[in-house]
Amino acid sequence: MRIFVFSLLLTVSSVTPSARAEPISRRPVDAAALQQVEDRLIELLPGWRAATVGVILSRGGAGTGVIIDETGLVLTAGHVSGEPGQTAEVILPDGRRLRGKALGRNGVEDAGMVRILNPDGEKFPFVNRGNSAMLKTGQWVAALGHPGGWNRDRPAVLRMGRVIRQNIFIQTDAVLVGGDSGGPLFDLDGNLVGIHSRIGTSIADNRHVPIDRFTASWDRLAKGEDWNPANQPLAWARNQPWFGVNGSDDPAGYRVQMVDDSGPASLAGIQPGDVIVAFAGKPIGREGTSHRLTTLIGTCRIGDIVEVELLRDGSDTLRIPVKLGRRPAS
Amino acid sequence: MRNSTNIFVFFLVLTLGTAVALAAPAAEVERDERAVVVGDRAAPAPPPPANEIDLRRAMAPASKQARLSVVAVVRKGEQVALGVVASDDGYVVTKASEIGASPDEPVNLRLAGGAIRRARLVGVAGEHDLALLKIDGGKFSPAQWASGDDVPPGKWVASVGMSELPLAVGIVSVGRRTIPADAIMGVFLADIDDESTGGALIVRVDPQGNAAKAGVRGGDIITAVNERTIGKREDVLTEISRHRPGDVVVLTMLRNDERVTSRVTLAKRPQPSTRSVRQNTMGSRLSDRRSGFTAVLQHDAVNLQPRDCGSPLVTLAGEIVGINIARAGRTETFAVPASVVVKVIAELRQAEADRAEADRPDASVLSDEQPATEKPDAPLPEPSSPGAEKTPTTQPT
Repeated sequence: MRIFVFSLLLTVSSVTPSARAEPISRRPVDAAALQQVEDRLIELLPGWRAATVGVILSRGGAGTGVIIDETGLVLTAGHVSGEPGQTAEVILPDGRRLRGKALGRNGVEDAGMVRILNPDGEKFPFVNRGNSAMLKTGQWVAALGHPGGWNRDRPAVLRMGRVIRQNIFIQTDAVLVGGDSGGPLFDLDGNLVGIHSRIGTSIADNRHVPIDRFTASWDRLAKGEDWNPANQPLAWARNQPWFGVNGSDDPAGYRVQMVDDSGPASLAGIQPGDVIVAFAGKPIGREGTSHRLTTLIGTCRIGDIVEVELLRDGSDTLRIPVKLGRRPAS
Repeated sequence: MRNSTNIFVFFLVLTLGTAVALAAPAAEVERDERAVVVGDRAAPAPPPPANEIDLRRAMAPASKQARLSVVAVVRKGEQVALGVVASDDGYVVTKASEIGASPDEPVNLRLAGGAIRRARLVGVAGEHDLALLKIDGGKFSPAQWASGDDVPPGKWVASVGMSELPLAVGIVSVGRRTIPADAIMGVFLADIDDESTGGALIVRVDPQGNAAKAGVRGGDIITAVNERTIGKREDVLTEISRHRPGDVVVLTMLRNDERVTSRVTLAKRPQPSTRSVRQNTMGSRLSDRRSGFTAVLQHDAVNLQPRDCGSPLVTLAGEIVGINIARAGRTETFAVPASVVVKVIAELRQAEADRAEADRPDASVLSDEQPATEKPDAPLPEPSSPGAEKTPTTQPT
C-alpha cells in the first residue's frame, strides 16, 4: 500500500507542469480526473494541515485560522477575530497553545487577522496566498477547518467542493459547520483562495470570504483597523423587506429609538419615541419585541403595504400604513 | 445614514452574541435565520449542484463489483438500513441500531436481484454498532474487503447502494479515530510520558462529575477499565465507548503506587448547544446513534440518509475500504474501516461457533445427573433496541 502511494506521488510531481498548463480542476469529471484530484490532495494535505490552526479570542469567538507567513500571521473570519487588540489563543496542530493578538477586522466582508506573538522568533509552516479573482464556477476547492471546535483527537478536517457562484462571497458545496469559521479554502495549486464565513440551510450553501478581499486591505488589517462594523447591512439583507428603524424592547412594545431618514418608517411618519404595539395586524407582545418585529417584517415582501399600530406620547393609538422598501446599497 | 442601522442589525448582533455566550462560534448562520423567519419566501437556496451527478457517474464503474454484495434491511416494507454480504454462505454485516433485530426476531433482507429473504441475528458488536446477520441456505456474492492500511484522507470514496449509480461520493476527511460515547466519567485524561508503564493519567476530575463521587482523584493513573489493561489515554476512550450512560465501569488505578479500584456510573455527556444541533441538522437528517465508535473513518459525502448506513464505501480502484455507520453531522459521515469490519465478523462468527459447541450435548462436559436440557445456555447477544438510542452490549472475545 505504502509503495503504491509513493509511486503515485512520484508520478504526480512529474506531471505537475503539464497539469498546470491545463488546470485539472476544470476538466470534466471522469475517473481519470478524479484520480488526478485525489493525487494532488494527498500531496497537498500535510502542508495545509500544518498551517491550519484553532483560534480562540478572549472576548468570545472561537473558530479556525490559517498561518500565512513564517512569523505567525494568521488569517481568519472577522467574526472570529472580533474586536482588534484583544488577546487570542492560537492552537497549533501539535496541540501547543500560543498567545496571540487580534489585529484588524473588516466587519462586512468578514475578514480578520490575528498575530501569534512569537517572542522566540519561531518559524511556522504557512500557506501561500492565491488569487480568488481567477476562480471559475465549477472549479475544485478544498476546505479545512475544525467543525464543532478544535479537537485534540482529530486533525483539521478536509472537505471537497466546487465553486457554485461568486458575488461578495465565494459559494461552494464544500460543507461547513460551526467551528469552521475562519478556516482556509484552497485551490488545487495549493494556494489559499478563501476564508470560511457562513452557511445557509442547503448543504450547498457554504460561503467563504474571497482572499482578494484580504489582499485589498492587507495593511489596514495588519495595522489593527476596525471598519465596516458587522452590524451594517449585508448584501443578502438587500433582498429582505426593509422597515428602517432601530430600537429596543419596552414594557409596552417595541420602542423606536432611531429612524432611517430615507427609510419606509420615516417616510410614513414614524418617529423616535414611538412604541410599536402591532405590525401587519399581529401584536408585538411585551417580551422579545425586537425579535418579534424582525420576524413579522421577515414574513412580508418588499413593496407590501402594512399597517403599523403605535403609541405616541400618551396620545391615542395611531395606525399608520407603511410601504416596505428595499435597503439602500450603502 | 449613520443612524440608519435598522432592525436587521439587531438581529445579527443577537446572533453574534449567542455565539459569544456559547463560545461555540463559527460559521455565522445567516440564511437559515431568514429561512426560519420567512419560510417559503426565503431567498431560494441554490439547488445542490446539478453536476453532483457527474461525480456519481464517474464512480459508477468503481462501484460495480461492490454493488453485487449490497442488501437492504427491510421492516414493514421500508428500507431501514443497507448491509453487505460478507460470505458466500449468507453472512451479512449491517448497522445494528437501525435494524431492530433480536435473536428471536428475524429481519427481512432485499437482495440485489429483488428477492426477499429472512435473516437471523448472529451477534452484535456494540462498540462498532455492527450487527452480523445470517441468511440460511443459498449462494451469495460476498464483498472483497480491502486489505492493508486504512484508506488515507484525500481519497475519493463512493457510498454504494443497490442502483447503478452510487448513492453519494465524497472525500476521506479524517483518518481512523475513536468517537467517544455519550457516556462520560467526568475526568480529563492525558497519556503518561513514560510509555513503559502504560496507563492513562487523570489530570483533572470534574468536581460535579460521577468519577469524583466515586472517589477518583486527579493524579490517579488508570491501568485497567473493567479489567481490560489500559496502555494509553485512547484505550480509555475505547473502553468507555462500549458503554452507555447509566452503565457502571470498574476502574483499576495506581494512586501513590498503591492499587485502588472505583466503580463509576457513567453520566450522559452534556448536549451540544441548540445552535450547534441546528447547524448540524441544516440540510441533513442524522443517525440516532452517531457517537460511541471504537474506530471510524470520516468522509464528507453528506447526501446520504440514516437508512443508507450499512452501505459499503469504495475507492476509485473499486476496493471496499469500509462500511458507513453514521450520518453524523452537516459535514461528516462515519464509516467503520474494512480491517475492523473483517475482525468483527470473525469474532462474531467465532462466538457463534463457541455457542454451538457449548450447546452440543457432549457427555464429556456434563455430569451424569445433569440432563443436557438444563444446561444453561451460553449467553446470547443482548437484543437490539429498536429505539436505537441504546445499543446492545458487545461480546468481547
